[in-house]
Amino acid sequence: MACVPHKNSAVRERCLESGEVRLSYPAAVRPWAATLSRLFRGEAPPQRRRQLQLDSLGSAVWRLLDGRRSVAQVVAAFREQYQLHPKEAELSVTRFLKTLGERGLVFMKIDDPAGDQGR
Amino acid sequence: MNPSPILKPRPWSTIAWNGIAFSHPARWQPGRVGRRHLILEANSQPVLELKWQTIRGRFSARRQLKRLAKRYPSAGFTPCDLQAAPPAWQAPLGNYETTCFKWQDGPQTGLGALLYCPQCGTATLIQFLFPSRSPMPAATSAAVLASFRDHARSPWRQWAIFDIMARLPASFTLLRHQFSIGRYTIAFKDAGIKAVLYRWAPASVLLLSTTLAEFGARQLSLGLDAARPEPVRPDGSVQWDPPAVPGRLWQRLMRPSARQRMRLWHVAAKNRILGVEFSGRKVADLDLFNEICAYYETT
Repeated sequence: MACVPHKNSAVRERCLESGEVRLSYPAAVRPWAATLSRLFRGEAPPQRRRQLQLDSLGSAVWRLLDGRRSVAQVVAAFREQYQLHPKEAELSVTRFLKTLGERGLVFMKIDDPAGDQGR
Repeated sequence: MNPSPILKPRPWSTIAWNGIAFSHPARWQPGRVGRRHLILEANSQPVLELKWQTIRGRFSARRQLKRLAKRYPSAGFTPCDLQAAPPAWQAPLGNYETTCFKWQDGPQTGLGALLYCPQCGTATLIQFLFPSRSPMPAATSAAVLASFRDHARSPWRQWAIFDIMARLPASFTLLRHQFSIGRYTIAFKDAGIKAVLYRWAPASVLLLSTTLAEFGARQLSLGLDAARPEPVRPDGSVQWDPPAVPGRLWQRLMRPSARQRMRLWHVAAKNRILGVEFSGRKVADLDLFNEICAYYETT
């Protein structure tokens, strides 16, 4: 909970009219596809991007990720915004961040008071 | 002799679940909610565990402690009587047959009591968990124990968990429960009556592009036609009395079909939606429905 979530700089975000956020991020190329592309086309496969549209709650959490707030602070802000039960807010935010992390959209840094940061 | 430290009053919350009730520091949150098992956590670490059961026949503390000791094989599990427990525990546990215990497994310590209430026949395990180098203040554990209740003294039973509170007849038994993110469901039964309590959050998002009636019709599987015309009551809640599902002919001859009623209301101040679903065979059961709705609230 003390870790600070950071957005992947390769992610592009667009705010829709509905207020929801649509993310665009580079899709990982599977090694076998890259090999086939080099064999038949003589070059690496073109970089593809994937889209992910967040719902209103996910968009709210995404906006709270400013590279300074820790997970605990994101949970507290989310809880205050929607008047959720503390446990409910904690579970929903941590699960959402885990999903974003699995897609490579965010990564965690441990905030070191000495100034050195590590993963 | 050092003076007793002055403890600042801190916010406390109450849990009332399936026959027991107690108060606890508000920063402790339910981490696991079973039918007769609760674990409360602070900073994602367990701090309080309760397990309870109605004992038929003779209660043997020794047998229960043996089972408990097996959970902590390398922890130096040590039972002791109440006199050896923290002095602050004496008064709260005086009305129970009490056996205390302590264990320590490296950085973790457990301190608890096995209680048996001769009045209601309920045996309860309560244990406090804390880091060995940072013991829990005796005043905190004593306050929790002092608030502990294991039987109702009225025909009504309180239910309070997370951010909901309700009151149902003591004869209602817990059928099933589910606490998912955004949606809580607790179902009860008593003879020919079934009652289900619902709670949804956050209402501001759930009702962003839909009405309360449409939301309720979808959630209660009534079909969107049930939302038109909107069954809105003067207080803003929505209510349905769906027709009873006809059973087989012999069932209809033997007994009347169950009457159903469902009501949802929006608690704007807390950003929640509450709902009650009810079925019973007698007209008087619907009076009970109104009573349950009146005492169902969110904190």
